[in-house]
Amino acid sequence: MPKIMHNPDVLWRRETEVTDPVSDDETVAGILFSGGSMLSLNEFALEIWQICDGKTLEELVVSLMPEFDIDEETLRLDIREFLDSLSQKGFIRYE
Amino acid sequence: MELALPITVYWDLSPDAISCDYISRLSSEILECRLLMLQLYDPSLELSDAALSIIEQFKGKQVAVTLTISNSSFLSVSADSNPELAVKEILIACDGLESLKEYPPSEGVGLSFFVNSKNWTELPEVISFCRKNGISRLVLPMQRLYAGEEPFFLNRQEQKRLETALAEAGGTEGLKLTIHDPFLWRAFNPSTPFPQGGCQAANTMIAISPDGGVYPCPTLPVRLDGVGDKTLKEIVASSAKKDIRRRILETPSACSSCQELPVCKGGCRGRSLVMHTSFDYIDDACK
Repeated sequence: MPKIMHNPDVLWRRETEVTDPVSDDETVAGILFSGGSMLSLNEFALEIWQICDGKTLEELVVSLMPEFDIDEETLRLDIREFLDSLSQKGFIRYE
Repeated sequence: MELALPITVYWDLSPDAISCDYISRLSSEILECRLLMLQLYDPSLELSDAALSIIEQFKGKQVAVTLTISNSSFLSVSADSNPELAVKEILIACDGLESLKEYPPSEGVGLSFFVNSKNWTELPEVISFCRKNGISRLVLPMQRLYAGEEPFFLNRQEQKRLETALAEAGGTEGLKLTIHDPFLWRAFNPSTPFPQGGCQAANTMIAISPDGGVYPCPTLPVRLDGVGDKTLKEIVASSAKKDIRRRILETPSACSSCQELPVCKGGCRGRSLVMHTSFDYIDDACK
């Protein structure tokens, strides 16, 4: 099973500051930035981002399963969907 | 997506001497903003003490520093016995190829080509020059309209002409390009939508001019405040900054029914403001 690897050019930050919003965007937990593209992350996505480097999908499922009250297959699908979106944008690659 | 703190700070240094206190205080204030990238531009003919001091203060921090310097400055650093600079990348600033032909930059550095109405036709030659000299990084930086530059833009015919000339010159494959202007982007990437999601002035970016003015973007000459009057974080959180961001986010009325709006999002708002003294005006590059 391929390992997930961060693109080393990606910069990221947890969003901790709270200010008056100037748009209707939802508050985000974190952001990824690379090559002019920015991606906002919710808490779930940020947690995956923080732990996925060097792991396989199955290792991520095992790590995250205790934190979520959902069945394993649903969690696996949610993680895979997020990772695929990261891969399409070049934020991660599979090795 | 609207952010509470910027991702990028553009800091243009003055060619005159800058006090250590100023450098130290502003560096700390920038770090407090938890940015991800510092775009530092030093126009001096030799790398300034200010630039070296700033690089030292950002050493080991989680900030990717890009240093843009003159070719003469780079040559002097290269000749120095201790040329290790703790930066993510070095870009050589130029607005013409003549100065670079005699001493082309070495591999590993990039080019920051300041495009204007006089030199834009050189862009295909710039691409060829990069390819020939093993330069894989090219930035077309934002215009410094806060410094009173004449706004530059290509109309649709010129964009098409450039697109054709770039293709004839062999295209841009293998070059890592940064282009901030959505319409200039189109000439280089006719089939790829502009990735930056509209004007990012006062959102993902903030700019500090050589005289200490804080601006939403180098291309948007509305001074939010001055360094020292408030901290940078206070300026970023100020109502002045939020007000201007709200105005930037309003679609110009002439664009409201345009099919290209989802991609260009009204184009360069600073350019519209300078050329028409109003945010509610179509970017001339769209015409």
